[in-house]
Amino acid sequence: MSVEQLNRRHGPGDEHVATLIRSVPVRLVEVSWGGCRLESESRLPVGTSGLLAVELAGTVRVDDVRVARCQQLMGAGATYHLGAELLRTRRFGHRTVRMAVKTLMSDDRGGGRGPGAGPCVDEEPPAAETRSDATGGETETRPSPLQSKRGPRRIRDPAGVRGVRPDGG
Amino acid sequence: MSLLGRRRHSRFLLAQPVEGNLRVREDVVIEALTEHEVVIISSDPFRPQERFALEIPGATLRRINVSVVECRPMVIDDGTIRHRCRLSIEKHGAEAAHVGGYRP
Repeated sequence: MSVEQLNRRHGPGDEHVATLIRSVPVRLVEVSWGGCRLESESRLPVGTSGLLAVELAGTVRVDDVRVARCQQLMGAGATYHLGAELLRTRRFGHRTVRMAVKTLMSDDRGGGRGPGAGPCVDEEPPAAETRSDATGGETETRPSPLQSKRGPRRIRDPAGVRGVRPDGG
Repeated sequence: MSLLGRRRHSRFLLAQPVEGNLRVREDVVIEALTEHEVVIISSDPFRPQERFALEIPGATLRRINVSVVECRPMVIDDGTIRHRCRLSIEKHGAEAAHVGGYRP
């Protein structure tokens, strides 16, 4: 197909718009019921939406997300922290990230911890562990959630996943 | 003060970060299209050798895999900066490509 063929199809005055699909490698660092924190080597503009696919507990989980925050991790080269909101655009199936989060949540309430779940550690993590990367970065919209005075609190370690609670209690 | 409902939910910090990918879509304008090459105008720049797919709408949706050969900034009529990217067509995807779903 050439531009002439596109002209015949759409008319010569029209712009020929196509959709570019880019697959950006990310690392899932943190999850919550409403969103997740990702690490990426690519900067993504705030408001970008896309399909997140990660493998959690042996299952590929997908969900639509929207980037709410993009902050460069200082001193780590081209590494960005992305705050992404989980969008409720898909049916709440077991192959969604939200379902994986729900499983973690129910484990946390003590009602269904899966095999291999670790003990509840219930201790305060070192502040630098979760906050040191948030200083000095390029904040595009909201202030970093990692700058809270009361840091997240680790509450358990079920099967390699460590829960932290934002309210410190 | 409310911070737009943030920090309402418990967060779970993964002991080991999980690798994954984020598939994003962006509209671009096709400036030229041949059998082996596509020239697009995009709002974002791309790195050389970067690979992605391009879906061209029509009676049947056509998907082609492309890689970036070069990308140069340009200024369009209203003074906005855009990027003209020359893409090499790697192989033709299926007509009526799978849209919207995830293919691991």
